[in-house]
This record gives sequence, C-alpha cells and structure tokens, in this order.
Amino acid sequence: MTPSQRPAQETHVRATRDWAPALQGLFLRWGILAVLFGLIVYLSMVQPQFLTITNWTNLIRDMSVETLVALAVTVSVVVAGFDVSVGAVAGMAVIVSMMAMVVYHASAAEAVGLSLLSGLVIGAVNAFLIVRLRLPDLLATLGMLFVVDGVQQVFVAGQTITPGMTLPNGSSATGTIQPSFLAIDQGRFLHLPISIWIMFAVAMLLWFFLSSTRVGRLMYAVGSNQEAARLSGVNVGAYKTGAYLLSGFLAALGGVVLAARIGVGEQLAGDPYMLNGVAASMIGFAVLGSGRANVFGTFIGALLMAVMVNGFTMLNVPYYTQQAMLGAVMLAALALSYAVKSRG
Amino acid sequence: MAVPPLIALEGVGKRFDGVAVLRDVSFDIRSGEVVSLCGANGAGKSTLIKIMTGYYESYQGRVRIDGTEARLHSPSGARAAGIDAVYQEVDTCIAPDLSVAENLILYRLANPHYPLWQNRRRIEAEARAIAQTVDLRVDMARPARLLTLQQKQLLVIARALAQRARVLIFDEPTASLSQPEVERLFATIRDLRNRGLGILYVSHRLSELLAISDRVLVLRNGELVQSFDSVPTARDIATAMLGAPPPDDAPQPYAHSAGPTVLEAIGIEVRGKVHGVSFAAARGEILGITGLVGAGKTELLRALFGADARTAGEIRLHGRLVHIQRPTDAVKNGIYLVPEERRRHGLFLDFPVYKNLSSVFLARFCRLGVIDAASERRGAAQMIERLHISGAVEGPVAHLSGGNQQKVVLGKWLFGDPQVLLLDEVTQGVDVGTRQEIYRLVREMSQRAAVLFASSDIDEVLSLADRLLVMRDGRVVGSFARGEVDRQTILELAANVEREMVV
Ligand SMILES: Nc1ncnc2c1ncn2[C@@H]1O[C@H](COP(=O)(O)OP(=O)(O)OP(=O)(O)O)[C@@H](O)[C@H]1O
Ligand SMILES: [Mg+2]
Repeated sequence: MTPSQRPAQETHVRATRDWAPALQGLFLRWGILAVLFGLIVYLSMVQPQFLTITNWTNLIRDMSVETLVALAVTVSVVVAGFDVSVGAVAGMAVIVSMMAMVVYHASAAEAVGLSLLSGLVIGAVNAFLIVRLRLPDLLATLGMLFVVDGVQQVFVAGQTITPGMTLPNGSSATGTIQPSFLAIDQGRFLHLPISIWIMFAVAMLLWFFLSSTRVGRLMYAVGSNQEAARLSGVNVGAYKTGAYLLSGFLAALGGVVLAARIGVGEQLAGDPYMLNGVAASMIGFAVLGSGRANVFGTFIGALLMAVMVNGFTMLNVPYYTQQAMLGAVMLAALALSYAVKSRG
Repeated sequence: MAVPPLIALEGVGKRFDGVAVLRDVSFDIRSGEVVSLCGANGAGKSTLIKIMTGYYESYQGRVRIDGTEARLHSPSGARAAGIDAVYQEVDTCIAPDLSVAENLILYRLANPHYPLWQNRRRIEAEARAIAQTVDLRVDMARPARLLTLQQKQLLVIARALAQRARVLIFDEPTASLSQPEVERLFATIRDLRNRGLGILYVSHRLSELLAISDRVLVLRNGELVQSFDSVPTARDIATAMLGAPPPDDAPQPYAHSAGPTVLEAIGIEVRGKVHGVSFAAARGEILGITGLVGAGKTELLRALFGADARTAGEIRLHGRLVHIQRPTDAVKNGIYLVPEERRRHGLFLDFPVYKNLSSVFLARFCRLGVIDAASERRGAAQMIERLHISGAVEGPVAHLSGGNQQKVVLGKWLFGDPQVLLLDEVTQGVDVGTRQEIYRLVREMSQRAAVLFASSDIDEVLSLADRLLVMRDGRVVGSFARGEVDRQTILELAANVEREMVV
C-alpha cells in the first residue's frame, strides 16, 4: 500500500466507526415503523377515503382475525417452537361453533366455549407430540394441520353449515345461528365493533403476560436456551405445553371471530390465516429491533399487512400483485431482524 | 536491515457503540517466540484476538505481517495472512458431524479450486499427513464430535499448520484441561515455536504463563500497560493486570470443623460415566473433587443435580432419602449446580445481564406472579457489584467478556438458599483478582451449605478444599483430608493405573 492511499482508508474507518453504525442501528430499530408510517402517509395522499374513521374501523376490524392467529404463532415462537396448525385450528373453531348452534341448538356461549375447547384440545395434542414424543415442532404442527383440516371435512361432508342444511341422515338441521354469536363481529360496543375490543384486550393481556409475569419471562427463557432453562430448574415441558395450549386457544378465538364474520360454517375457512399470521409474527421480530417474537411487534406486523391490503385494494392493485408485495415486505423485515441478531 | 517481525500491531483499537474497549495497542511477535497476553476480565484480550483473526470487519490501526500491511477484515483474510487461532471454545471451529479427515482439510474443501468430486480415500490420506504434523493419532473417519477436547485442539492446530499459519493464537486453551494435558499441550506449543511460528498465548493461570512464555504483555482496560521482556514473577504480572498489588492468595488458614452431614451420595451410577461413587459432604466444609478431563467429575455433579439419569444409587439430604429425577427436583431441595459449559448450559445469551441473574429465583422478584421490575434491577445491580461483573452490563450477556459471563453463571444461583452447592470448574476464565473473591465467596457459602468444588486445577483444589476426592474413569480413587496429600500423589492417582490397588 502506498502512503498516499492511507489517509483515505483512515477516514473510511473513522466514518464506519462514528455515524454508520449509529445510522444502521436507527434503521434497524425504526425501519418497519417508518415503512408503516410512510405507507400510511402515501395512501392518505393518493386516496382521500383512506384516512377516514369508517375505513380505519373496517381495516382494524378486518385485521382482528389475523392478529389473533398471529399472536397464536407468536406464543409458540417465544418458546422456540413453531405452530403452523393455527389456521386449521381457526377453521376448526368455525366449524365447531356453527355445528354446535345449527345442528345441536347450542347457545352462543356454548358455541364459543366449545370452539375454544377444540383449540385447547388441538394445542394439547401438539404439546404431546412435541414434548412427549419429541417430534420437531414444525413437523408435529404441520401434521396436525392436515389432521385438523381432514377432520373438518369429515364433519361437514362437503357442505356449508347453514340453518336448514340437509344432515347425513336426510333430515334438515333445525338450529339457528344465534344473533348474539354474530354480534361478536357485527355488534358494536362504544361505537366500535366488538371484535376490535376483543383483539385489543387479548393483545394487551398477552403483552402484559409475556413481558411482565414470571411465567412469561420463563417462556422466553425456554425459547432462548432450553438446556440452560432446564438446568435452572425450569420445567421446560410444562412451559412448552402451556405455550401450545395458549396458541391453540388464541387461534380458536380468532376462528370464533371469523365465524361471526362469515356467518356460515365453511370448511377450511381458517387456512389462509396461517401464512399471514406467521408473516405478522416474523415481521414483529424486527419492530424496534427486538430480534425476538413479541406482542407489540406482531400487532405492528398485522397492521402493516392490513394497511397494505386495504390500501392496495383501494388503488385496484390486483390480488396477486398484493401477495408479491406482502412477501417482499416480509423478506425485508426478516432481513432487518437477522441484521439485528448478527450485529457486532 | 533488520528482519521485520512476523506480525506487528500498530495503534490497534476497537469500539462498540461508541465505547472504546481497546485503545492504541501496539506490539509485535517475532518468529520463534511465545508471547503471553494477560489482563483482568474484560481487559480486551478476546477482542484483540478477534481483530487479529478477522472476526470484525472494522477496527482502528494497522497490522503488518513481515512488514507489509495485512487486511484482516474476514477470517479467510486473516488465514491468508497466516494468522489462525485455537479458541477456548474449540467446538465453535469444528464441524461436529464431519469426519476428522474432513475437518482437517475443511479450509481446502472450502476453496473454490478444490475438485468438486471427493474421494474419501484421498481425503483421508491427505488428512493423515496433516495429522502427523502434530502427532494426532485418531481414526480419520470418526465424526469430530467424538474427539476429546485435547484431540480437538490438536486438530485445530494441525489444520492451521496445513494452511501455513505463521502466527498461532491460543485463547485460554487450558481453562478446563488438567495438568498432564496442559503439559502435552505445552510440548506441542514449544515444538511449534521451534519450527519458527510466532505464538500468542492467553491464559488466566499465571503459573502457566511463566512456564511457557518468552515475553509477557499486560492489557488493562483496553490499553497495553506493560510489556515484560523477560519472564516476570506472578506477582508482577498480577500487579500490572489489576493496577494494584493483588490480594494475598496464600491458602486461607481455615481450621474448619465440619458441621452436620448434609449430603450423602450412595453408589451413584451413570451408565458408562460414573461407577458406584459414594461419599458424604457436611456443612462447613468444602469438598474438592479433582481428576483428569473425562474422569467423571462433571457427570457425577450432573447426576446429583438430576441433569443426567442415574442408573443406580441414592441421594440423602439431612439423612432423608430425596428423589431427584430432574433439575427441578434438585432446585426444590436446595441442590444447585453451576455448570461447566457456561454458554451452552448456563446462559440465556440474548437476555440482558440482569435477566440472566434473576432467572433462577425469579419468584423472589415477583409479587403474585408479576415481576417487580425495580426489585429485579436492584437485586441484579447488587450481584453485579458483589461479583465485580464489569463491561457492557446493560446489554445482552453475550457481549460480556468470558470471565464476566462466568460470574453471571455463578451469580444467578447466589440469590437462593442452598443446602448443597455443586460447583463445576467455577473459576474457569476468571482473572486472579476475582478468583480470590470467588474463593472467599465459596468459603462463605460453605457455612450454610455443603459445597462440592470440582476442578481440574489441582493447585486450586489443594488450596481451597478441606477434603478432596480424586476421580479416575468414573470412580473415586482417593479421598484425603486437607494437608494429607501432595500434588504429586494426586497427579499419580489421577493418571496412574497401578496405584489403584492401594486405595
Ligand atoms: N459486541 C460487543 N458489544 C459491546 N461490548 C462488547 C462486545 N464485545 C465485547 N465487549 C466489551 O469489550 C470488553 C472487552 O471484552 P473481551 O472479551 O475482549 O475481554 P477479555 O480480556 O477477553 O476478558 P476475559 O478474560 O473475561 O475473557 C468487555 O468490557 C466487553 O463487555
Ligand atoms: Mg476472553
């Protein structure tokens, strides 16, 4: 190296030392939120209807199912697991609640209770496969996805569950869908759809649980280093089981809201929510540079996707283009969160 | 003109988030010398080594090899410049499932010019030639994970030599080796030196530094504060490291009478690892356990803690039989284990320091299951103070220096109320100053609990333990009270087969 080159290199080194890492850090921390903010500003400018109370009420109401399902994924990821059966669980909850009311004359409360119970049962089976039989999380829940989807199809035998539908024995179903059940999504409380309240309440509770309680902290500990957690006296199996039960419960709750929205028992209605839920959860890693699954990030991830879908639909962007854009955003978010991890 | 040194550092520095952890370090190493680098925990030794081996993309200053500037901004760049290292955690640079042969030629396999079509026989022949350079005699087809720590170190050294490494760095290579293994390693290092390599050696065991080095450099708070051109005394080094004369490390004159028996282990068996070990430990005494690497110390402690399954044997606590199947049971009964492998078994690396410290006895910082953040922070701050944990204590524990991480692993158990404290190589990687602090702490804990202190450092066990067990091949082959036995006898017992009959 000639002496004349040296000063240049030194400035370069100093430059990378002083402001580049700081800028990089800023970007990693605020990147996703900046994208979200920029998108909202842009859409507000090009579409006058975008920034209206009506549109935002719809937008947030639309995202409530995604958010609940995404939180279900998040809980499983906190313990370093991965629950991909959440969409199937949500779909199962749709079928269970509708069948309960239409075929078995259940009340709205019974229908909700049974749906949530079905989520817990599937969560328990997931936990059994993973904790007891030691199947890898992804494979176990993927297997459950197929099983649960199959069971749904067996239940409805290719039909859509509606009042008056023909049952396998030839008679027709005599139950009705309770209006109080439909009110879960269609009713309002203090001017806002009840599903929005449910989503916010659940997100807040879960946020508090994961970040401020002992059990939540230990779930993160299990996810961080399972062996170190075990050697700290943590009953790792119990925490993982708890996480999968919670995951099943949250996904089923998402399914209940979905059922109240569509008002019929359509088979496999929950399946599309799985990928969106996973995406929101993963985008959440990068929010505020946390580098791990967390409730606030997941919510922002779901919001980002909802804003994109809502805005692009207003702009008449074709559906498949939207998908590609969602994918690109998720990849960018993942790139950010891995950059957070490997920094240093 | 004089021959330029093999490697010369000029004004090397490194900052993390604006904090300088290494400042203006300059030194050189010539062909055929062993230079030791020492410094307290967090002084910047590992950071310096990481710079030299191309771990960081950016750093300040310059490094010259044979007088010409080298660009050490990637591991392959550093290797191309002839610098390689044997890290304390050797596992990090070995592919566990590949064979020994494949690991030996790993860098060559990674070379784009290496033929795409692999011939196992040719690889193994090539690898065997490399292994011979350091006298590594193992089956070339074995998966590398089955090697002992020592064989893994040799593998890494051989691989570096095959890459024509000229500067070889050892970062605490002996932290969990015992005496005979250390001597074998030293023989290898001397041989490398005689072949004209330049060696940089890092260790917290001062006696080792004195034995192996030609020169000694001392880092303090990221600065090179002293450079001894001939071998100084251990006290001189410690004074330079700590910035003040070290606390006296004469064996503590405890004339302890043991209290009531707390722990009785009867016929403990772990398949293939521990064979019928029985002993009792009382409150008020420190029971040392020593032996070579692989003698079964770790396995014994893990079995007592319920971390590994016992195939036979029972554990009594205060005379009562206790059922310990899992670590949870042990912790409930007041049996705590500070594990040997801190990164894998002791730490939540992405958690901040305070969350690691509070992790075991989190309930202490909770009200109705809700964490009281203020009390958690306060408790952690006290422990950080008590154990002199220094460095980036606000960030993730992964950013602490090795010795400071070790203190965190110990510290998280000190919030509890132990009946039995199982300590496995608890001072590994801890500097001389803090080591005395830990000894004092262990002594203090022994007033409340039975303490089992397992270490492959015989001197440490001799100076600290009131009673000591020597293990070999999973058996206890000797049991002595303080002062009843000397270093040599222990060494022979730990290694020698004939003495077995005597016991
Ligand atoms: N990625 C990082 N971010 C922030 N600080 C760091 C990072 N890596 C290291 N440090 C800090 O740099 C300092 C030097 O650490 P280093 O690991 O070099 O010490 P060391 O001399 O090797 O100590 P030990 O003897 O304990 O291994 C410490 O204070 C550490 O906290
Ligand atoms: Mg170090």
